[in-house]
Amino acid sequence: MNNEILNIVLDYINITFLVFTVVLFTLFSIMGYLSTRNSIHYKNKNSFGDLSKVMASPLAPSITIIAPAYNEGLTIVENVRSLLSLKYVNYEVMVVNDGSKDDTLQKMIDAYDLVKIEKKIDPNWQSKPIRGVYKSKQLSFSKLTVIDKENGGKSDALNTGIYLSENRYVGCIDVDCLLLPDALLHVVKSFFQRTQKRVVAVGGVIRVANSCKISGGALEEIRLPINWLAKFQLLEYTRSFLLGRMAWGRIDSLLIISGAFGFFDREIAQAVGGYDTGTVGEDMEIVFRMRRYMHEQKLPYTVEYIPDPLCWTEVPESLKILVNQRDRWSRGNLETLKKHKDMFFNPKFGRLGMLSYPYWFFYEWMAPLLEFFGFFSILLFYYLGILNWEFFVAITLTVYAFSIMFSFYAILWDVCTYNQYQKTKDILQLVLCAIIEPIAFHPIVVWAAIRGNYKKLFKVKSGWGTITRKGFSKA
Amino acid sequence: MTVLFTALGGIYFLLVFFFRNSISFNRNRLSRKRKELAPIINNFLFHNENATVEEQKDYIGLKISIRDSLKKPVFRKILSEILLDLQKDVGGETKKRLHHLYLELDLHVDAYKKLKSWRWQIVSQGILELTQMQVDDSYGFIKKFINDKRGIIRKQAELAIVSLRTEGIDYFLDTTRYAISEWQQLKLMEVLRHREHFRPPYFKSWLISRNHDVVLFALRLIKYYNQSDAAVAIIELVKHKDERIRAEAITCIKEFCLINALHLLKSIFWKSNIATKIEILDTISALGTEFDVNFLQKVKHKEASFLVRNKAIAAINAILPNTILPVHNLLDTTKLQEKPTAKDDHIDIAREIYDIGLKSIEVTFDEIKEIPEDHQKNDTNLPIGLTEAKLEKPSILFEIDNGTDFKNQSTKGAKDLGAKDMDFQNIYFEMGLTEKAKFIETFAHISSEEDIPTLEHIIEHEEDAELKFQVFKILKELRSETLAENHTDKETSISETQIDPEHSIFHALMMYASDIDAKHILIKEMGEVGDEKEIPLLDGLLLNNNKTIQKLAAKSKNQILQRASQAKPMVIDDENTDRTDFRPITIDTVTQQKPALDEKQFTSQVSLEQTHSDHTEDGTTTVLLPLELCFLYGELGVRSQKQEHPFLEIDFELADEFYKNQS
Repeated sequence: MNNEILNIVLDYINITFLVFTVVLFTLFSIMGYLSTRNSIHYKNKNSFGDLSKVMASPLAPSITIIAPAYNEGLTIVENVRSLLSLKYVNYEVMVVNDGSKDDTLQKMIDAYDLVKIEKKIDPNWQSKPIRGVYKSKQLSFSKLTVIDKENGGKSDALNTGIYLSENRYVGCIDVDCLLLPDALLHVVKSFFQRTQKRVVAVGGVIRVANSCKISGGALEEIRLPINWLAKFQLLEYTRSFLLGRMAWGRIDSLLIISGAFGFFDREIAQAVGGYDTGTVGEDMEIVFRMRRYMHEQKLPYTVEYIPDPLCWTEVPESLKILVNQRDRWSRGNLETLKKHKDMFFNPKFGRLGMLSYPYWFFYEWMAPLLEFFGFFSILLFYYLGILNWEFFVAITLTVYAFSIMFSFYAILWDVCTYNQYQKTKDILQLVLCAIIEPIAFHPIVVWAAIRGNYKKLFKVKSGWGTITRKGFSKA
Repeated sequence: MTVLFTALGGIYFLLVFFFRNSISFNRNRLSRKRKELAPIINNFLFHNENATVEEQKDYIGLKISIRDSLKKPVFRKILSEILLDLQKDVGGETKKRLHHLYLELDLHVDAYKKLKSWRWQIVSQGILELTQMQVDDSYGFIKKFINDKRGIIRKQAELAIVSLRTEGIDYFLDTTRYAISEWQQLKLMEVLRHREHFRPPYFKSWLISRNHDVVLFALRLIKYYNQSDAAVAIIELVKHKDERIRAEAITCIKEFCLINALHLLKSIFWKSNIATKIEILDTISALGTEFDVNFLQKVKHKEASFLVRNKAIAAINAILPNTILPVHNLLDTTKLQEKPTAKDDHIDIAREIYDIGLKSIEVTFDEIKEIPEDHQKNDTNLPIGLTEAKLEKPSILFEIDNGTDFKNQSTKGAKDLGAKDMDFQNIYFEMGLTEKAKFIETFAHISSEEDIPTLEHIIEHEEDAELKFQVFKILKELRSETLAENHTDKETSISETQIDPEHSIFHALMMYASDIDAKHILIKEMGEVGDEKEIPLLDGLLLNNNKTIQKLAAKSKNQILQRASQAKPMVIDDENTDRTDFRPITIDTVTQQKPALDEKQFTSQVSLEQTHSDHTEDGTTTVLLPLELCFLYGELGVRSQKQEHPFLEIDFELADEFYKNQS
């Protein structure tokens, strides 16, 4: 009797895993197809005309780039210089010094000849107190504004920037990110090209800058990272940005805009109250909230996605920092999903409620948990001698083959579209990464996700953690 | 499934290398062909019809050979690509030759063929080629696509017809039925901006279009080309339902200074969104008068948005400067006062004067004259001149209040503290370097003799050399000023109390000065040629709202005082001072004195401020002096350089006809 019950339970577990895996394969295949179509369409559509011709147009909208800085004294001057040299006329760089304990502010004051200016602040404004607003005395740095405030975290710093900005669009970036000179032109195009829908947010691809050659704040040579952990992340980013987000963008269901490169319609961002300071997944949460707001207001809107490699950033090369980062991402994911749980399979929110949210729930939040518990189930079943070897080997090999195939497809698509890594050696290394990633790198990501979920569910106090930047290699 | 995925993985792996090689092969082929064809294209582009026979023969041979090659579609395609690339890098006559070559080689035929394709990207490519090569004949073909349902083709066609012919913009705005994206408007504007010899049509004709985007674009073009003839229509569009059109119309109103639209703007204000409200307030700020202040006050009190309220305050201050002053984070001066002193009274009076200013009444000389009388009741020991000099300080303080908080707190606190020098010194030494620098800068304007101990203390304890130097400069000026004041006070205390601003010869001139420049020159003149009689007038000017006037008045006063002290270099000793030394100053004594600047120096100084100047043959500059100054010169018996030029010496240029008639 007990054996029969056990067999039934085992069958259920097998069926669950099988269904989960089949749905996953189907979804990923559909995503591959959609991203391909979207990429081809994007490439064809953008093959006409020269963007730089419109950079000084009197109709070009105003943009504020908000870059929160916390203890960035080592690289802040160079990073700001890079932000000030973008190919666009009507923009402002707003660096928000989030109560740095080092000399971040003083370095900026010295380097850019800053002076404190008077700025009226709404007494009801909810954020950490603003200590001062600085502008440069030199005309050449007139685009720069520095806000000095008490420490309140990244979201609080970004909210301060959004509040103090007077421009139509705001870009929230990481100060250590490297933007390509024509990045803002692409952003403006994305905001401006729609006629029927209001573009509330624009996101873009994040590229890995580790080991790349940087000169004078500009990307001089693209190189494959030397560090293997960075190589795995590069492959992961390529898969996620070129296939995943491109596909979601195609069906207008993109739910996340990377915190390192996200631009928003300031009016809408302010209408929803800016970033949520109570979550570590603020970049995802604000998109959820903006979408929800537009749905509730019954206004036609969209979120645009730019696949061009415009933003380059340094990814963690240390295992500890990587785990901390992924731990935070999974906590942020869970917090956001929990906060907006009423959207789950809610037809009121259209594709957002019926497709995007369930996908994030099952395949972004639940998948690592299932993988983790699946692994322990296998060990348990093996120990109990009830492991269905035939099924286990078949499903493992299938998942492994699919994973490699999907990574190869991402590499192929990268070559076809932007062809960033042209050396045969680089491509072979990426292929090798794709083969060993499911065994070598993926378990780390799963472990970090489990840790994050554990912390969140059992209320273990944890914040942002620290990321030590190595700084881009100089030419 | 595993096999399928593995096989697919293998295929993708192979495709990665296939595509990579294919991309690099195509790139290399194009670059090779480009190198091959570059000399041929150059030969065509720069061929001279007057060249030698040999060169002509080579040219014809080249034409025949290229005609043969053009039969191959691949060659035509590559040649087209090269020419299209090249046209981006050349300009002027070469570009025209390139366009001509494109037509001569019949490459445009391929572009026409592309227009018949069913694929949108091919059609768009064809339109782009014809546009870039300025194939004028294609206009008729392309304009058919202006309302194509495929967006990319439609947008490309719009750009093409606007680019190909001048009348393209008219046709586009007349016929387009689709929405025009902001990006497309931006690109169309760029095409128009870079068109040579473009005479824009009157865009007001499209302000009545049913297509909202056409109206919006027309408004933007009107603004860009400054077509102010559309005023009535623009004002009407403020009532438009489309928020974007409303906002654009408001910016046009501001741009063209359409004052009669202000009433309408105020009427739509309360129903507008925040962005439009801010736009309206900006416009009122730029065009409004004191009649609009009531409305702005209403906005200030009723509006929920902080930004809008703030904008309203800014607008009020723009119309009536300094109407609304900072009220938050100011030091409580009542707590700082231990007991009322004479100094405090000065400040109160100054505030009263300031309040008069708030009620938009300009402080006139008569009013300034009255203040000392009133003040004398409180403190008869102080000479009027000095009293008035002190009155300037609070007024300056209030103006500084508009600057930064620290100035507001520290300087105001510093002045009010008075006897509490030590507290004030503590405040100073708690400041950062930047704050200190700003403070000293401010202090330079407002310091008086009672600040000397404080300044000495700062010099003694300040570590920063630059700051120390700045303070030292102020102290030096103060000491020399005090020296002069002490001396003059004792000499002229009786006479000064009897002098009022009207006794100055400059008083009437200042009252009727035609413009601000004339006033500036007059004040400078007071410094150059004036005497103690001018001091009450200058003291009055120190209270003027205009900062330049304040500065010039202070400078002139210093000059007069210094000159007075130099004229009688006596030892400043109270006991030795004898009232018999007092020498009343009259117009004669002033004119007999050597002026600080001689006429030539003076003229050159004035010439810096003059907008109209004439250059004479010898290189010297003669200037047109303000009428008031001419009168003054007349009265003082000074002759300006201009008078030295006889009228007959004017060098007229004679017409050719004159010489013909002479001969």
